[in-house]
Amino acid sequence: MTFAPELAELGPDRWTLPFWEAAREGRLVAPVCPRCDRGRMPPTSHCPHCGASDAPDWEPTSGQARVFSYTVAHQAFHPALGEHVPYVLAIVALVDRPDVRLATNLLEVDTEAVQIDDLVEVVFDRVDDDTVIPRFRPANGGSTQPGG
Amino acid sequence: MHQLQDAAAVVGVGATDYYRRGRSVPATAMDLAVSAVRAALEDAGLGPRDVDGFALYAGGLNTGFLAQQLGVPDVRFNATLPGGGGGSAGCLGLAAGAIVSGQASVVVSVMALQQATYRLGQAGGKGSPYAFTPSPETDFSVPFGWVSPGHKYALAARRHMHLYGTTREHFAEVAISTRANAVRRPGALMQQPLTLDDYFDGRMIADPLCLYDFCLESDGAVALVTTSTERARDLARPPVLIHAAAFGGDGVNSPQLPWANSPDEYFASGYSEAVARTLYERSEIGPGDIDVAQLYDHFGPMVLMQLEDYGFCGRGESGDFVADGNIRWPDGGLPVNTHGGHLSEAYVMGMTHLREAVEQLRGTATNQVDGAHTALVSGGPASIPMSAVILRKDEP
Repeated sequence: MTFAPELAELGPDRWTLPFWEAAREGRLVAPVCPRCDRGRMPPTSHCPHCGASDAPDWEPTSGQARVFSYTVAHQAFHPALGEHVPYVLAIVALVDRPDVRLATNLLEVDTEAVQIDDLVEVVFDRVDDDTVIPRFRPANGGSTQPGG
Repeated sequence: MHQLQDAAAVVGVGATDYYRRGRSVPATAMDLAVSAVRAALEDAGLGPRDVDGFALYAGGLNTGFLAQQLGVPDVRFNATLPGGGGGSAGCLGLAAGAIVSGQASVVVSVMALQQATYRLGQAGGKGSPYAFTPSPETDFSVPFGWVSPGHKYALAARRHMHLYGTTREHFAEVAISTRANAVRRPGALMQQPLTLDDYFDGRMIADPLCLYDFCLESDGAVALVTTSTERARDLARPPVLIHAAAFGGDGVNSPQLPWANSPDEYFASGYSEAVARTLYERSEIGPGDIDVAQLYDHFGPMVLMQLEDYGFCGRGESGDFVADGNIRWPDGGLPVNTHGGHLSEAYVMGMTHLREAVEQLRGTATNQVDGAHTALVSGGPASIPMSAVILRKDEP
């Protein structure tokens, strides 16, 4: 199920590393400013909203999200994508923290049937022992409709 | 009144032929740049010894080598905006600032593309600007196959459709009207009219963006020469005044990754509202007084969003605006990309749009807008900096 493993080499820094460490443990976490409680995505040293210089907190999430936008990519702009087109590149908003959105892929979907606001759930794509990439698939046994 | 207002003017324009990607070989990008600058200086009635400044964008090119080949003896100003095509229109603001502050008197701006050994739109591969070194930022995009500029704008276009009911027919209107302008223009790369059926038959690249929503890939160079308005009035061509200029953008929302986390109204926009606000603050001319607009069209649907950003219609209303024929030449209320744009004339990262605006205001454009007195040119949508200028005829 691994999607384009050649593109999955990561280069985190101290601010983003907790996200990837949690993914390795099968947890999807959201970066939140400890001072103003707003999502801080990307996780950085300073909050652009309140100016806090505290590291973000990492809140556990249910792993569910809703599709915010998506594209069905038909052209492989990188050689590593050649055998994966068409694929769905999406931005999803976490149900528990709608102010944190992630770019991701939607797996196990009918590419013609995806809709904005579809409910999806995280799946952890284990590329190798060190690298786990959170992707998403339809939640609730395949229903892709909001509220389902 | 803003101190740069009408203080500097474009006095020369020059360009090479435009070529399909890689077809300008054996010319190098520097060869093309030198040719375009020489043509622009000749157009202005100036020579290389008059030049003392370079105001560039997208990281520029090797101005030392350029100055040497041109024979510029004394370079006193040499600056470039970062980013990509977002800064294109802004290079005129940079030039005007240099001139008004006395740092330079005759400033050259130029862009040259020669894509024989790389493709701007191709991720990975030799020489690609999208070859990836893993980084904290790209970790949140590249592993998901988010590797082309087209992916970003597909995501924005989809959200715009969702929020405002914009349709692919609206995207098609941008592609078709732009193509019609190119067909009338000698030298434009695309010379066959585009129909609605053609558009819908175009292969899908990043749904909802199809082949005709993506710009061309081309080679070529375009150069502009700028000097003070006072000096411009003694030169060969009627001056085209730099009425207002702005480069920058929304600092919180603009950097690439947070686009995914920006507010909805920003995400599904041309990201240019902040630039537009600054531009109009510095201008006596509002959107209702613009006669022709050259809007950066790396992706056709982003023309719609910019129509909203620059106040030509309300937020979410650009689909209806274009469906009503407003951007068509010659009868629309605001003809857009009258040269054929990046979609159908050539892609030289924004400079063709500046060239066309100057030709419109000189009254020499191929698709001339009758009595055009004012033109707006944009650079971007992109990350910071984006940019825009309002140019106008010299009518003291």
